[in-house]
Amino acid sequence: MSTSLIYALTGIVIAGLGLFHYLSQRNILRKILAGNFIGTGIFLFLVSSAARQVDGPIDPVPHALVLTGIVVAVSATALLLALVCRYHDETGSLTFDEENDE
Amino acid sequence: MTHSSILIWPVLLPLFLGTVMFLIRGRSVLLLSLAAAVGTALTSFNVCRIVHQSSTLIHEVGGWGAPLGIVLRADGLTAVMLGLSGLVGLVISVYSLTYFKSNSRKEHLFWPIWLLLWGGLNGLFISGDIFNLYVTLELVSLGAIPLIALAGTRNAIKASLRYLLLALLGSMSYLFGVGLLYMRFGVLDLVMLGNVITPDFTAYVALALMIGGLIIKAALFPMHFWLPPAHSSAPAPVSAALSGLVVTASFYAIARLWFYAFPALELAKLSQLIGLLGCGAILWGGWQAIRQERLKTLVAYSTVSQIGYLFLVFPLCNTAVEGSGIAWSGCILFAVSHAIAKACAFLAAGVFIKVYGHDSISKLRGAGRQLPMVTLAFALAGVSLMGLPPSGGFFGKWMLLKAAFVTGQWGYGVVMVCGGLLAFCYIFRVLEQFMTAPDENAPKVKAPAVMTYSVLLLAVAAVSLGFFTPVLLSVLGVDSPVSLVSFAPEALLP
Amino acid sequence: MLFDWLSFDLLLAIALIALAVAALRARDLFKGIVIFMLFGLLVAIAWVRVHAPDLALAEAAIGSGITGALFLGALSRIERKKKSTAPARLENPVGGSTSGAWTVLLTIVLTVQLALAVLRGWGYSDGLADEALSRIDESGVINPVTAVILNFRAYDTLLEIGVLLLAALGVYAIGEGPTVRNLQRTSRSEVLETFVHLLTPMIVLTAGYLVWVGYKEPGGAFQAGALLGGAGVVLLLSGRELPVHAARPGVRIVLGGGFLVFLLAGLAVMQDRAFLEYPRASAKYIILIIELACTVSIGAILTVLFAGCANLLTTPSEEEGT
Repeated sequence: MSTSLIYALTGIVIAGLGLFHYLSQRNILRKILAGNFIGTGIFLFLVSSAARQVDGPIDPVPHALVLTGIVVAVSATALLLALVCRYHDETGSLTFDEENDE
Repeated sequence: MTHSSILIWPVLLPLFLGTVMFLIRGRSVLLLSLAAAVGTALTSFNVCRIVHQSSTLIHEVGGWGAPLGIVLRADGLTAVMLGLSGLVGLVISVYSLTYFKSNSRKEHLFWPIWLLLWGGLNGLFISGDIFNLYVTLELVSLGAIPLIALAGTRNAIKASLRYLLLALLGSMSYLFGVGLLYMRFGVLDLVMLGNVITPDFTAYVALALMIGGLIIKAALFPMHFWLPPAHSSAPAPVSAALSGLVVTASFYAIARLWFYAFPALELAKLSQLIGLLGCGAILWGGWQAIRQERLKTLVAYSTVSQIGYLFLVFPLCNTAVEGSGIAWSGCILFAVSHAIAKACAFLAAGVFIKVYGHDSISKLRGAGRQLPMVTLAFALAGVSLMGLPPSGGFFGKWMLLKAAFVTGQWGYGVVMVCGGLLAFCYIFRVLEQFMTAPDENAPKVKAPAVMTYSVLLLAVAAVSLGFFTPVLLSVLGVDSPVSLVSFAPEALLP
Repeated sequence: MLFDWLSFDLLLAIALIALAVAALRARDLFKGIVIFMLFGLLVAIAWVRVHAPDLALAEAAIGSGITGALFLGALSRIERKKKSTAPARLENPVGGSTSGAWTVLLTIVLTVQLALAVLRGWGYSDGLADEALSRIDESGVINPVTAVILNFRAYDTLLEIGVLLLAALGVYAIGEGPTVRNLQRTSRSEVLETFVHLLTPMIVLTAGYLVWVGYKEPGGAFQAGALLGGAGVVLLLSGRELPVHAARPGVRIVLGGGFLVFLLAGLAVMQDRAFLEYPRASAKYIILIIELACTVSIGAILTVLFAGCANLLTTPSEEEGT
């Protein structure tokens, strides 16, 4: 088993863990945190796949894709957090449950 | 090479002017926004015209070419979409000139965000690279969210938060698919991918991830639940852009991948599943639309329903069956007419809100007498949504129906007819209220002229689209993935 | 062999998964965020192991550092707000899930399918490594990742800066709530003051170095911009009144400048070439100009994003529109 394959599979496990919490958490802040774990898991897989040829050259293209992905992720996280703060200001709630809204 | 650079202007111009409009404030805003809107629309129409006259335009950004660089392409499908975004975007922009209070915080933020979003949409349509498609999708999503939040109400904040959480899941799913495809096949260019892809397990998983992610963004039933709150709580021009263009763009991305990147895969079963979801959307969306109390939520549920029709193209357009190419033409025609009619309906609802301060259907009694022009526009948009002749909606639906019969899939035909009946009910429910006599002592009201006439323009476009069907189909025929059936409107009319 | 790299990789992989679980299941969200940041640093080490030092830098700075700061800013804002209003328990570890069993099943099936897809598709294709490396001397830079980001696929990067700019615009659009409160400035400590005084010029210098070195070694505009953003966050936390309000023209120019310079550079070469097709001779300098402009903008945008999440954006004087 090669180094890159270990990390690729680790990335998938982390993305799966993130997905589970993304779907099951009700607290929105925790959802966003879980979303960041999904993203990092995918990036881990992508970066590792760049070194999939054991003695071959490192493919720079996935690296560039992940850099773009990291920037997109931080942008989306910032928007989500700003929205969540505003939502909390308005409703005092951190979940989507209506009964907690007042 | 040089002449293909016209292809990139519909992207660069709004991105550039949008940023400039962020930097510059003050009196020049009106002039600049008008220039940006007209310029973007004209450059889009220009691409449309040139594709129609010659053939597919290709622009290799950076001069590297595929597979190393990014290649932009405009074939017939892209040209139709660019023409659509040019028309709808222009009208939305003109409408917005008077919608937002001059020199307000909202106006300052609306223009740069909207222009970046518009540029992102055009970028999505011309993209010929699956990763570049991801970046443009993000540009569109991250532009749409703040525009909804700009409404500032609690509902808008909640809706945009929900929307973004789901859109993010969709994006990540799509990105994972891109990563798998690149790992397996080593290319990102759409056309090259279509040539090298082989039907193996990795390819199918990647396809499921990408299509699944995009289905969330396109709000196909049962992933539609984020759409009605988001589209109905946004400011009216934003709702029009979301329902008219943004959702259509997500569908476009699915169709582009399906017919161009994955033709080598065996997709019959998946297409039936998507077709079933489409049927669910048509019926559920239509039924919910009838039950809504507010005009904007009604229009939003109508979007849920109409999106369903678009997805019927996957089971109906079966390249193995002679004559099913008509489903492809019908679907794109339907997408275009829905986008125009839906933008029109939302903009009309915006006028009612502006004038009356609410959009509760039961309290809009008599609005037809007071605002005849806007009501007429809404009715004309309704004609297209119901699929009555001579609207584009009619021909689109007719062609989809015909494809259902040609391929022997009668069930879809029945659902389409039922969807039409539901549309009939929800549109007439609104028009009935509008047409009743207003209260004796109802105050006199007046709608802003710019807004009224821009709505009317879209309404006329939606209804008269039927007459332009042959032109539209001849543009669509440029490098089409399926052989289009030559189209004679007379043959369809009784 | 004295040191077995394979066991190191396995240990790191297990540590990553353990940290992910710990962060996601942490009772206290604050703890979860701190573990997330630690996790990011370990991911960076993993990326050094798969020969991606550029990304290790980016992950440590943006993925872990800035993202963590955004979370902490938002959390402290919410905690403060909650203290001022009714106290409501938000602690909610995994519990409260509605249809837990189904979610577990769904995620496990999905994860297994994904792992299978990776295993079955692994190692078939070389990707574009050879293509990219053979044309690297045409790109004007030596670092292959920089070549892809700023030349081969520069169009993606341009749009990505657009996404960042949109995020800043979005934070402005969302930022102004009905309850406007500025961060209560903590009393300035001597240590922090000295730290800030020393650190800020060093960070700026390092950022400049990272941009310059990015053409041949790991580094570049995003890593450097993230450093600047980090400096901005530290300055804001130390109670400095950084100009972050969109009402100021200077702020808007710094935010939008990088994107505009990138666009204009792409257009300037377009006379008889494609968009963003730099002439061979001047490619290196054009890339450097773009990177410098983008570094400043990225730094400013990341600072604004933090200010937006930590509710430092609104001034009472800012006007309200319709």
